[in-house]
Amino acid sequence: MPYDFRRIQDNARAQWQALLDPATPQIFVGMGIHGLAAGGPDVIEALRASLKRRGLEADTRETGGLGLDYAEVIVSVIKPGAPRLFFGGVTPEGAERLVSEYLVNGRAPEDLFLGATGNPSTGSGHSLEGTGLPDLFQRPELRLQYRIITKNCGIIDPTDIGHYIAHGGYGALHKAIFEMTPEDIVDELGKSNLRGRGGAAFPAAMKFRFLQGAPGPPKYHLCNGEEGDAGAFNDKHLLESDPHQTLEGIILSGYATKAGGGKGFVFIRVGWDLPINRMQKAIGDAYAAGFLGQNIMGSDFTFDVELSLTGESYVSGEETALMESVEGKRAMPRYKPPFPAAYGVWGKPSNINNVKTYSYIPSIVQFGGDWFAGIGTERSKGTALACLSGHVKRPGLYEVPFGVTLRQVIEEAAGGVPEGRTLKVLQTGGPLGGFLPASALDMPIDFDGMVAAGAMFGSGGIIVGDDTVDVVDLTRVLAEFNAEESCGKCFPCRLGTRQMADILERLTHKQGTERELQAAMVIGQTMKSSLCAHGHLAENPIKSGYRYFEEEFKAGLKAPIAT
Amino acid sequence: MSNDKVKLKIDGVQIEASPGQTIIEAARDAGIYIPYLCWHPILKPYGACRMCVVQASNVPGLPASCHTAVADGQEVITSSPAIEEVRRDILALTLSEHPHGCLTCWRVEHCGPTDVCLRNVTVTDRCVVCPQNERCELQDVTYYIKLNEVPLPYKYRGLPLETRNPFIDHDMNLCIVCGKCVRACDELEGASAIAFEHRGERTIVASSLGGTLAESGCTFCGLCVDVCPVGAIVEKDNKWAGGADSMVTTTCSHCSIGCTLNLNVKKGKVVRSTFDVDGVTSHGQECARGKFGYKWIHSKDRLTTPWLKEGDQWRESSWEEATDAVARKLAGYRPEEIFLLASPKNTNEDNYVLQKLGRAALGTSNIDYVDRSCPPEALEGLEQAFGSSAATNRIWDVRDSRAVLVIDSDLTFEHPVGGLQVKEAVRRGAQLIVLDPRDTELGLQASERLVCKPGTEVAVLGGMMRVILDEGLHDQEFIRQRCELLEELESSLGQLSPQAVEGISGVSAAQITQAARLLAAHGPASILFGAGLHSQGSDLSAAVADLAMLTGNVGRPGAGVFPMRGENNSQGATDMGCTPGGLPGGATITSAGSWLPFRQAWGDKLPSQPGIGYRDMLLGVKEGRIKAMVLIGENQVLPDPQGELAEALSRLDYLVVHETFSGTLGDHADVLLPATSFAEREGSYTNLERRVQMVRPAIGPQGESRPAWQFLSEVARKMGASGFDYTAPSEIMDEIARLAPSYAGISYTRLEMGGIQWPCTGDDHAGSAMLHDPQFLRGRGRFLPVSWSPSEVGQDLMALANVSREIKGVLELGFENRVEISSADAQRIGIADGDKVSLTTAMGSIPATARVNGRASEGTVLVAMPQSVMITGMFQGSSPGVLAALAQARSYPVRIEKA
Repeated sequence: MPYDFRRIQDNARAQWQALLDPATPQIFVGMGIHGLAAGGPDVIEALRASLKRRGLEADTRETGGLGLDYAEVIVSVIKPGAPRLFFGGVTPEGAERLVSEYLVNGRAPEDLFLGATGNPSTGSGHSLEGTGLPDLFQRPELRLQYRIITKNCGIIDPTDIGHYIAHGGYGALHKAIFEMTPEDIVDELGKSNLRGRGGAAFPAAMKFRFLQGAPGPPKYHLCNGEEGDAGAFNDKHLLESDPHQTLEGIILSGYATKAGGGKGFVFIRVGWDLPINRMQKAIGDAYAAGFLGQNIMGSDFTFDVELSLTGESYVSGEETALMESVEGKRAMPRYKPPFPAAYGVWGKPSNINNVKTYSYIPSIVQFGGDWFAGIGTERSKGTALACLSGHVKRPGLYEVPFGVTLRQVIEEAAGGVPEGRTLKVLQTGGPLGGFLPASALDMPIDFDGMVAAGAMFGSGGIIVGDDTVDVVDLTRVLAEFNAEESCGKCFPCRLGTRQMADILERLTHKQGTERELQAAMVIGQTMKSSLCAHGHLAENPIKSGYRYFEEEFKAGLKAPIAT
Repeated sequence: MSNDKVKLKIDGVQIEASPGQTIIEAARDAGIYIPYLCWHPILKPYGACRMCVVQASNVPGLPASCHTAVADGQEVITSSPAIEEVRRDILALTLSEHPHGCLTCWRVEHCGPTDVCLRNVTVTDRCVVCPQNERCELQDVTYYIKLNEVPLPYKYRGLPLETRNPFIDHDMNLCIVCGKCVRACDELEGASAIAFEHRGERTIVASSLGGTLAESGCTFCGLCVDVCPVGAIVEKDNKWAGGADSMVTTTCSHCSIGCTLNLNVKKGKVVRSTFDVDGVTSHGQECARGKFGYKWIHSKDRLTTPWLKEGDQWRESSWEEATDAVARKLAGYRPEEIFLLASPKNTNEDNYVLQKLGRAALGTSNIDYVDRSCPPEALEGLEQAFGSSAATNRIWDVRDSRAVLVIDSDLTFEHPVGGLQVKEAVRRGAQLIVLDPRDTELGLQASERLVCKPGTEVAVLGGMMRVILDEGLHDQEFIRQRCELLEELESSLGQLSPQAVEGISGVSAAQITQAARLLAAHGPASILFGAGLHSQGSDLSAAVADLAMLTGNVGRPGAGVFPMRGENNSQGATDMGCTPGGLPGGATITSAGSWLPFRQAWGDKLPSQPGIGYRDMLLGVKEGRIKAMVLIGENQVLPDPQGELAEALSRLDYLVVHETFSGTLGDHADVLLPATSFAEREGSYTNLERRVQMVRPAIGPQGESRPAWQFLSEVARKMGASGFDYTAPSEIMDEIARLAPSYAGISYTRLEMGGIQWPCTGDDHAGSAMLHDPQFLRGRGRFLPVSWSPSEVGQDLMALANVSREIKGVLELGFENRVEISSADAQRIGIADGDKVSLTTAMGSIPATARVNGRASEGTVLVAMPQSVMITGMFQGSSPGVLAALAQARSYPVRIEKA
């Protein structure tokens, strides 16, 4: 029987439709990592026990994270004939109330209620019109968002390939294989101006073109989900809430770079069981559905994807170190050139991209490069996945278009710092990123402007500090992290990060000297001769910290001997 | 790709470089110094120290010259204020974790090692107490950069020393984490016995598995020691000897690979042996024996004066008196009563003069030498098939093979640097097939590992050839053009179907078939074999020759046949005519054409018939036909598992021994003469790939010792023979070149420039990297019938002495000798698994632990002994005993008893 993607799509849609307009209540429990941490499994158990005790018929299933991490565990419920209602902060007791108050009595508990959705793409079969229910997406933390790659997160069941297909999933792959040439796809990427989301913001199309022209097979695609930055959790979020989107992006990239007969690897740090398990399941389901392996979708395009676990080392997120890691070696960066597109894993042409970068590709193929280029700013196109943590009221993951200001994200979406406190400092871009002062709040989020200000957007982590934060101590923590996580290869980085952390340690004990402070700045410069960004950027915390909070650093100097 | 030179400028100097070279390589070739710490010419670029940064016109920023390629028109600046600043800052960081009390001291030049430090620098912070002092790369770089102050606090790591092995000491408090040792261990040795542990600033070198080096699979090749720029990894022996007074480049005398070594001499003693990165055979690779096996040359047990036996009494004598006595005594025997035992450990010149003494002065051709792992007579098959028994290709080129077949050779132990080429080939994707009854290290890496019953190797090869012929996988074009008598081979394979061979050898038919297909499908393929494991005569070498011809693997780069000769100069001993029927340069006595020139040169005493060989000599002594013997050697261990040699020697009427040690031979000698060791003499060795290489004296003769050629010439002169007026070994080589066509173009003048592979037919001939190209030396390659018949596997238990990597270590570390025995034998002898037993050969007993398992077949035991014990046994004892003899992988009858 010939391969019939339309039939698969129709089946998936029909099943999804049945879910939206169910005969028995459908309950989704947020089981992203934050949902898990907040007690998701207990909530599911409590729900099931409560339903059983009452003899009620209802299906419970897992979904990923909606991004409103502060509100986990988030439970959404579709009752027959009703729109989908979302409840936050659900505990096992809350679960009991959901059953007794909403399912039995039809009265949604006010204190738990977050909002409702009224359209099929967000998983609702019934419009909100006339119900008087508030729209979930009009909440401040969602109103600001432009959800491209998080659109399915928290809405669908990430372990069910049908849910993804029902939301247009694998449509881009079908379109690409049967209607587009690899060149077409790279052209669309070129038009979209998609820049790599791994930190370096390198134009994706250019990278793809290098690989397209490289000899093969084999050619390899490496999806980097190593994500070791403190304060960043968007890669994990995507992998655990919508793994198929990333997977489709990798397969599409394989097609676009003429890597047929080659292979993709998805790297996740060992120990991150949730993303690992979800991706593992997704890969298996994709093979079963004919989206991977020999003759994908009945075409002559063949591509494989495998999950690969990296050791617990921060530097193994660096692209060449990751390749060493794949080859079974110690994760230490290689020198460049040769670049991965010419000499990658096992010396074969390879491309390595961040999870987010791959995740954008299905949408760009589906809706076109021009559509994507219409979002964001002049040089930073598309959306930013900001991970808000620290001293904010509503920590979470917010996908906003580039150009939105830090203030909007922090104050509108995340609710600002707790009452009675003032915002003092922002730490962005992970431990190799830098600090921004409160005065930088009106800076738009983008790739280049933030770098110029001495910080960077990088992988998307934004840690907010209020006036209780000791910047010198925070700098010490970051420097300590950088020293611990240096891979130990390049002399300047291995030794410099340690000296820097030691100098900061003395500063926090008010034992620093002016000479040392200057030495730390020199070390920062010296480290720039290292092979990889770990050395290049390790000066950022102290440099930007000193730039904006010089007085605090000066206060860490030894008191002059009284004369 | 064009081989055009790349033209670039470094510091304004126009230079030429090869395409693909890095800037630092080009600069080094041009004699321009760029400071570095993590780079090494024999290692792949690494780019960690960032010390070698330069400015290059075509690269932005400050690229590291160790991984930036040269380009046409490139302008490189090796020093500028910006570069200096980076280097100074990196060096300051580096010294913040390395003791540098002396490094940055302005008055270090005035300071002696015993002076009291005026600056109160802690003793552990001083260079003068570092074993690497005066030969430290960090010192060089610091002085070049002229750093005289380290602004950062120094942190001593406080790590414990690692000294739990016989050869190498680690003091990782001195380590600068350049990774050269780790990379050398991985890239060159393939052992990965050391690795980095921890991360960040705690990153340090340690054994890979956390325990001792031996436990991590260290082969003690010593590469890590030689590449270490500082004093972190140093030799235990002569650790504090300091910089050498002189370094002498010479050829290793331990096995037939012939690696190039530098002997470091201090105050007249060899204190160290280090690798030579420009060595053409080894390219800087080395092994434990070459690296650490030099200590015996300074043993106090060396023979230092001539000794004469009068009655039962020994007395010292002068050389004059001794040679008088030998000349007088030898003159009293008829030529056929004298036997000359040449030495595969001595130089070509020594062996040449010995056989000339026999043939030209004494009139006897009773001469032979003993090679334990590849006896000359076992290579007769190769000789008949190809026209020469020598290895056909370069051992270094084995790395380019796409398939490698290793037969009965524990290469990684017996010829470690040869084994490395096989491992490198495997790394590059070659198929490795190992045919061996033993458990060898290469077996673990093999695509097909054929474990046959001892003595059935020929049958297995026959089975493989049968498969190749039956399936039409043979190289028909090659055979049609270059070989003959294929039908003789074909008709001999009738009984050797894979199924039949399975019954004979215990190797499954499926494995035989698969191995045959692998070998036929992956060319070029090389075949390396040892012919000394069992007494299969020359059948093994004949079968190997057949297989090579059948698959078209002769006269082709990356292919070839390699008899793994046991000793450093086995090939040379054959070349010099030290076989009963041979003459120098491959000539034979029985061929009138090749005999005649020697007759003209040496006179009419030259016998026209072959003499008797080693085995016949043993019998001849017993029967009273052989009465006198002259034996030369250099720390040679003659195998004597059955005690036949000792018995023969004791029956001899007159025995002259020229040796470095008296050893067990001395007991039977009438004259004991002190020989110079390889470190004390000039001469040449011919390695297994026919490469003639110089041996250069690093130190003067110990005591009154003399090289064999000198003493033998004197004896000949005293017997009235002419043509023995040599004053230097170069004259002997000149004579060899005149008489032996294959050595015609070889002279010391040329050898000083590097080794030459024979045939080298004239002064303008570069030598031959490959034999049998475009045709075989004998014309057409001759297929020989495979002759295999069930050999008598006696009731004696046969021990296959073997070294297995898994317990490679030393007894002192708690490892044990291990004897694997079949359960049937164990039951019969009444021993159980884990019992302490004694293992007895004719040469003595050693204790061991019995392991009853399925690997040893009935009637055979497998003996595994820690390598280092044997190395220690060989080098540190003056008289290598049972351990060293067992180290040679031969079958011996042994007796196992419960201890």
